Amino acid sequence: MTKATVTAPEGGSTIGIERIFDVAKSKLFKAMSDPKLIEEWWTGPGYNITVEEFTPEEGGKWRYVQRSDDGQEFVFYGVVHEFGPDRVVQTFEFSGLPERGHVILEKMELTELEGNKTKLHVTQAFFSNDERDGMLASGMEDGMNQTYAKLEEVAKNL
Amino acid sequence: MVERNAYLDDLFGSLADPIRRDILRRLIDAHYTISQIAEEYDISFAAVAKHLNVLQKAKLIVKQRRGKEQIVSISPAALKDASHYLQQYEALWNTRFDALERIAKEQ
Repeated sequence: MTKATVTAPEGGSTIGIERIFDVAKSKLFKAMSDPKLIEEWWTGPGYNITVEEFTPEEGGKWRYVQRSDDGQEFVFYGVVHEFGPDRVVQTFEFSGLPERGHVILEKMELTELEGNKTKLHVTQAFFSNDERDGMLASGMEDGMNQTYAKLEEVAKNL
Repeated sequence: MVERNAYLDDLFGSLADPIRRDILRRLIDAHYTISQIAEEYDISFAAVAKHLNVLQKAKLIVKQRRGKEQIVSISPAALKDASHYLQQYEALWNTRFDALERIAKEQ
């Protein structure tokens, strides 16, 4: 089975995520462009995702609400800069952080490969190495909220 | 869910400082005495020793006495933890992308 690989260059402020999909590019792009389908593949163990807003065009907005089984609610949201079959560029924010301003710029590149396969490469650019590593340490799960808050509190006292 | 505990607090606190991250980078492939590390920075010996104490408290480094000197080396557990976080993030995207592939195939 193909696995996603995550790379985080030491000292850098980006994360790269790459995965080869055993499906044609047009189908993969459709699954990434349809709100109902996005809800399906973003939903994971212990939580549901509801797509409350999704305008896949330049200047459009996206907003996904995550409701955990334990009643917690978080929102992932951003603004779309480009939404095409070869490339999606958008900002990414997370409501669980103690303050605004921690915006990630995300680029998703789709490349058609031989044999009906598609490579998806995601680049996430953070403002700093600290912000990136904080996000990695959180695993992007429910703990991100508290972890980030604590990380900042600790960093301020250095 | 990331577990909240004092160990993680120390770990994040330690990694939030650029000098401490730099010290850790140096220690990845070599051992140094405290004096050798102190020579590398334009801060006082006491300040370097303080950074080392923070790293030690977070269990990122270990100190071993050898004669009059203390040898500082990176703790194997610390390296394992850092790669563990990357693996967790990878696991999240694996789950998501496995579902994406399944759904895309149905289109």
